[in-house]
Amino acid sequence: MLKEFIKGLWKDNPVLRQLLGMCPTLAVTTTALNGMAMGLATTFVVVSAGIVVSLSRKLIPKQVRIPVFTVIIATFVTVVDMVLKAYFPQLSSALGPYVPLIVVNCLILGRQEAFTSKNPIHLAISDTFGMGLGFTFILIVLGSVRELIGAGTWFGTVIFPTGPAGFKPLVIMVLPAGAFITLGLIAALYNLINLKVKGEV
Amino acid sequence: MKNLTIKMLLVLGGVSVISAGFLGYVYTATYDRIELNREKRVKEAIYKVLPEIDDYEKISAEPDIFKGTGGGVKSGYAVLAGGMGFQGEITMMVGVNEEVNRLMGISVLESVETPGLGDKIKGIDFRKQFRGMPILRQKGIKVNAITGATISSDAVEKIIQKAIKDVKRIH
Amino acid sequence: MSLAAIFLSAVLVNNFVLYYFLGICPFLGVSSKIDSALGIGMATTFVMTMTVFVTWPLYYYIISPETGFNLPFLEYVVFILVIASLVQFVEMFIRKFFSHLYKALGIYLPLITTNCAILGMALFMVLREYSYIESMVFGFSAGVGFTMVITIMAGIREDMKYAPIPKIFKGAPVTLITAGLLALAFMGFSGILSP
Repeated sequence: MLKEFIKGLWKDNPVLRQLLGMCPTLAVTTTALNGMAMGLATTFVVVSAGIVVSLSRKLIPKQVRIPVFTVIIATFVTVVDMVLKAYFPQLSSALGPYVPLIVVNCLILGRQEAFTSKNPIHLAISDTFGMGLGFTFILIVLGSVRELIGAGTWFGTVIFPTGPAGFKPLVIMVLPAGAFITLGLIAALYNLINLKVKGEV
Repeated sequence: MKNLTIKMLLVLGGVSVISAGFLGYVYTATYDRIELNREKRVKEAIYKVLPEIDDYEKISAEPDIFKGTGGGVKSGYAVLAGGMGFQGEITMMVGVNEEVNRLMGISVLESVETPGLGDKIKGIDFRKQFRGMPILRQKGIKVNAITGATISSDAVEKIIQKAIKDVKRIH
Repeated sequence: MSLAAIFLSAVLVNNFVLYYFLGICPFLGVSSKIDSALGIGMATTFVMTMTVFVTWPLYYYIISPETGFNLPFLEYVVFILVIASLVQFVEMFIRKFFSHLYKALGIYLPLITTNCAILGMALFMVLREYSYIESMVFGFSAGVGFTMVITIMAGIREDMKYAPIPKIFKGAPVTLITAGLLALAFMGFSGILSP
């Protein structure tokens, strides 16, 4: 059970290893806080959907599994959307139109298809929870790098004071191009560490 | 074959009905709070653009215009105005003084502009230019655009111009 | 906004993949061969246009708070259900008539369902209050933009196979960085539509 949990954090990290869930990864990570919020919201959805799918895995005919999974996922996303609007209005307006896109986060559907629809509930929970946290981790890292270089702040706190003589934020970092390049470099670092551990570099 | 089709339809239909029922429940459960949040944000925005008023009353709908009371010379109107930005609808509160010849300030309620560029319209550096900005008889106002976000800045200018017109109509 | 402006905006200026990060999964996953890239691009364009055809009336006559029955909480579920059904339909169609294409696209066909570009397009359509005709043009051009970028990317990657890429950059990193450079290049189009 622990093995299923750990693998999502590093070895099979959904973003770096499997290239899943890219749209929210790249789109909302202009700040570390947004990245964290998106990561946690996604974790909630992937775990809840995992529980429901695992429990009902014997009832769903193979041919309609994709539509059924997506309806289950869309339901939980709508719940997250409404709860954020009701209890965390500020966060809700920051994540804005990207909350509904959790529905089409391939990470979530991918896990249901590959794992929870074939495994009992306790394994389903540890697998999805690990994947969710692994996803959140990368979102926070990416958000931190982009926020630090793109705005000079971290979680909203000023780290590099801007000003005529001070730090000049690199606007490209908060633009799409910066997102792709930063994630590319993080993925390269991930490869480097893995190869170093294996002793191949 | 036929049995399978029926089972497929039943499962899909069943899942959809359960989902719709569940969502309907959550919707009604959170509806009041979401409305309350919205009203609270409107209220906060009014006090933000008309900081010295004691109270306000709604004097017109579509667009919603509020008149500040108390606060004497610093009183004025707050207009809930909206328009199309770069990515989607921008909703904001526009504060105008009582003589309708100066802006008092603006506050963005909702926008989905590009993070880091267009969404700087929410930031203080952009908003502070409107505090006390004179409204010219012919041209209205002129916005100092944000570098790299001309469309969002133009959208804000348009929304303010329209808000001024709306206030003048009832003034 | 004129129809031509909607088209140019969705294809070049605010390209779904390079500007909104929508449809990245197939963009990174399938785009290693020009043939399969074109195939998935055309399938996506078709599903997008069909999605608009079905979801627009559904939204404005049933879901919308103003003109329908005020059921906003069903928006995501209904949209995704329409898309999933359309994808299933396209899958059956391709399997029957283009079996070699079906083999090439493999597991990515069901994943069109989770192609964020399609749901994203449907949500933008509502957010921007496009009319029925405008929405059709928007859906179609979003698909064209997606096909174009994914095919360009596939072309680059076909050539990159023979390039001496440092070991740690092989695979995802170099693809992402190439996408970043492509996004930079596409920023050059942003002047086309400024007023």
